[in-house]
Amino acid sequence: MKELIRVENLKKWFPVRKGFLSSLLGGEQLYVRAVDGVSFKIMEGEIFGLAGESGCGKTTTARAILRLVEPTEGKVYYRGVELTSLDKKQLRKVRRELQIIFQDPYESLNPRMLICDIVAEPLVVQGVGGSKSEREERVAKALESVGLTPPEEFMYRFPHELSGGQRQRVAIARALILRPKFIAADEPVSMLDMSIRAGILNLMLDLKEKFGLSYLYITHDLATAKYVCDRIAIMYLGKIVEEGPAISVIDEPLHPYVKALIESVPTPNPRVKVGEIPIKGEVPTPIDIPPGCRFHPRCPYATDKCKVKEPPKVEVEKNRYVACHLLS
Amino acid sequence: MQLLKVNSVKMYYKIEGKGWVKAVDDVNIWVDKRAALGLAGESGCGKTSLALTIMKLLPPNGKIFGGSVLLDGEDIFKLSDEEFRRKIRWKTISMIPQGAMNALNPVVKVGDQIVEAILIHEDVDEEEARGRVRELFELVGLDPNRVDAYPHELSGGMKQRAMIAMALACNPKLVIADEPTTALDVIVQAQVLKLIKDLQRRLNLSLILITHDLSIISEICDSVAIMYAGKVVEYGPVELVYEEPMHPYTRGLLAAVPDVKGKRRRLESIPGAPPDLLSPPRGCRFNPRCKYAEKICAVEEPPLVKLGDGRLVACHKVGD
Repeated sequence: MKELIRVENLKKWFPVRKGFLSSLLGGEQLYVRAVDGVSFKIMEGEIFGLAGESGCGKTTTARAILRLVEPTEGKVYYRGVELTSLDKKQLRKVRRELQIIFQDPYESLNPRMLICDIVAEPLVVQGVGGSKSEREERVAKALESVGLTPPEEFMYRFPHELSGGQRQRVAIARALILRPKFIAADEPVSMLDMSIRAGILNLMLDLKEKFGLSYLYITHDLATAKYVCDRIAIMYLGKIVEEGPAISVIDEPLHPYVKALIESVPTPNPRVKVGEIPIKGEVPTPIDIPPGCRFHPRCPYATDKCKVKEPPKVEVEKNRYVACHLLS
Repeated sequence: MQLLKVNSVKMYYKIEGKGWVKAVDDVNIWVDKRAALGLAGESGCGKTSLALTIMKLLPPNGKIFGGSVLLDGEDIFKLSDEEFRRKIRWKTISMIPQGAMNALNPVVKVGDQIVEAILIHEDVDEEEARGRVRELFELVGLDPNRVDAYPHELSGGMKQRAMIAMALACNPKLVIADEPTTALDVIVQAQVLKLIKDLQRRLNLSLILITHDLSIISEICDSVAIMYAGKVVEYGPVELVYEEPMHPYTRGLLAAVPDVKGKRRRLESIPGAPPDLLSPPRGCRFNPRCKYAEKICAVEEPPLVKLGDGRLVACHKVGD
């Protein structure tokens, strides 16, 4: 498989606004280290999952890859082209191939625009797609491919006339209309009801086959991640702690945090209960990241080394990467 | 032994100029003493409305159209508002409303907010109430010295523990928890669920847990009621319903839920969307989305009938 996207030591630090007095007195500038040195690759035709709890930096990573936020440090390559060094004009051109779907289909669609205009907007922005009638034809095709058929029934309606699942399909049609190679899907089903979720996930899988797409699937939900992802990376406080094939990482996690995370997920099988979770407390603030391994204050196995030295992400088994001193 | 029995309860919301939204329509369920019932269904199915009806905490446009709610055999719908407030609400049945942890008053210390709840409902002095709050904090795994913390000083998990403490403040027999872990991260969710289960057992409580997440119910509940469009469609012991779902809607829901600890299998979605409850479909409310629907399903409403294995199902295609 060919490499589609390569992320190298990506960082996004957000400055914390200081109060009047502290800015007068000088004082150290603090940062929220949302993404703090993340590296991974996404292959062609692959669904790569980025999972973790709220605040772990998974959404910021996706946005920094597409340069919807400017990375503080690090590089992102798309088919060998360094996205992080492109100027605005070049970036706009390459964005045709890189699309994003957001979490909330109630917020990501302009309520005053007709569905056909929403889906056609990327064509207009990019100045492609030909005449109005040609555009409408492409919109109809896009709506058909996401299962909104017959398309004429949806094109001249407003978002509020559609259900949540249908709206998310419109958002996917909008992402597809430029025939992208890569889609970042940020929690695309977490706002939807259960019975609708499976339909959207299956649609994403079908479209991947049909159009040879690759996805970055951002989620906090490990059960859906296991369902759609080929490979997965688990983040904690701005760093990847474990990475590998989705099924092996979720079925046999290695990192103590990932073990606890997966054990915590309840299942619809009444005979399988959540076991003991040895880790205590909650995720600390990304302003004040613990030294050494950032998980060490909550880790039941932490040693003195973990308190001072940050563990690198290393390959511990074939294709399995873990950032933990205990395993390397 | 039944603690709470809901009999044919109907509660509709009036929408000016449009009619009545049949949010809870002829619902029959019960909760045994010391048992945990899960109330499941998708958004808008009426699960929260049912809880608000039991608690008599309806908004001004919500009206109860009949039915009874028996608590230890006594019809609590027949009590006056004053009696209900004095004897039932919070004293016997308490509730952890959805999103309540984010509704704490930000400028009042968390402990004081619980003290206030105790003083409203019980005839005790402030000192005694303060002592009880410290005990409650200990019970829910919070440091009693945090009673003087303001809400923003507590994490999400700690705030939800404080809400549980508040719900337990007047020693209720039944606690209704509405999506108690929805806003929490998964590890904290697991800790809070374990706490709820542990308290339910230790304090001999009955519990109604409302959630859209079937996995949470499977984790801590004994029985489950599946609601669809204002009605209970299937009700029975969790193992029975999850392992051999009978109602097509229950089957559909379970086929749509992935299992993180199970084998990867193709998920199925249910076509269509839930109906508008201003004018629900005739006959079985699920019939427009049901792949087994026949003529009768669009004409006649199926009653909730008891099967040989003890569960209840409302479906024309089941039981004959």
